[in-house]
Amino acid sequence: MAIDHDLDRGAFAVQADQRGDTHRVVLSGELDIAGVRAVEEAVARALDGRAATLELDLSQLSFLDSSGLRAILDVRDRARERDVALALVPGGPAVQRVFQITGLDEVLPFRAP
Amino acid sequence: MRLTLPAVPASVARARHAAVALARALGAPERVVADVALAVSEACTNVVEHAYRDAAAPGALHVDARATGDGLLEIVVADEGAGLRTRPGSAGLGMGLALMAAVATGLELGHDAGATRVRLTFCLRGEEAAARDAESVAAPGAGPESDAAGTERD
Repeated sequence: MAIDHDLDRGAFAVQADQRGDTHRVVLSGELDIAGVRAVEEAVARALDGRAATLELDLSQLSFLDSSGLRAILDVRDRARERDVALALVPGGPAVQRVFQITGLDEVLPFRAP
Repeated sequence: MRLTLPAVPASVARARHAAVALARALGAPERVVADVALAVSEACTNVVEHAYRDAAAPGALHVDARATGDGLLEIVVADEGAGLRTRPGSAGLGMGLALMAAVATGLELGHDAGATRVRLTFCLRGEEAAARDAESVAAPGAGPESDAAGTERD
């Protein structure tokens, strides 16, 4: 699987764009403790921009650990505070497994892949 | 493989990449490589977040990895700091420990004069990883001995 071969590469990056009142934040590469602040900043900017929906796209992540999980839970809380709908685009098997182990796949608003 | 890195966020990826490279060099299947990546990331993150919280500067993060004679990859992550504690306002150790316990074959936590040591082991053979999954979370330090065929979770 392509996603596994990226485990030893893939610097973390965040991209953001806007389509209508949907703000999209796309995470790529490996999300660990070093990338959390970039997620927080990108999400804060998106939520400041009068978004009705925030879409957090995990499909290009090659790695995620508990620091990333906590960052995503924080995104959920901030979106709730602003009354912004949140949708998560699922990652590959290695990323979704981390949600499954912690039971968060049942709790977070994932879109069908 | 033996690494000593500063206990800063960027070191987590360096340690993880080194452990992944070793696991691949030892012929571990990609599922096990992914387990190694996750567990090492969690153990190193604990050191970065908790070990030197009261220190003026980040201390050392030690990562020591080797193949044992019996088909295991053993990885020891250690600090020279204040030991395992949770921080008020932090989600703390819980989720990281749960992930390590779920993906490693064996997990042991040790203390030595304040320094904390996490010893992780992984079966380098994929079938044993599958058997472990069928057994759910193995007891700390007790790797599965059986070759019984397990079923993949996914």
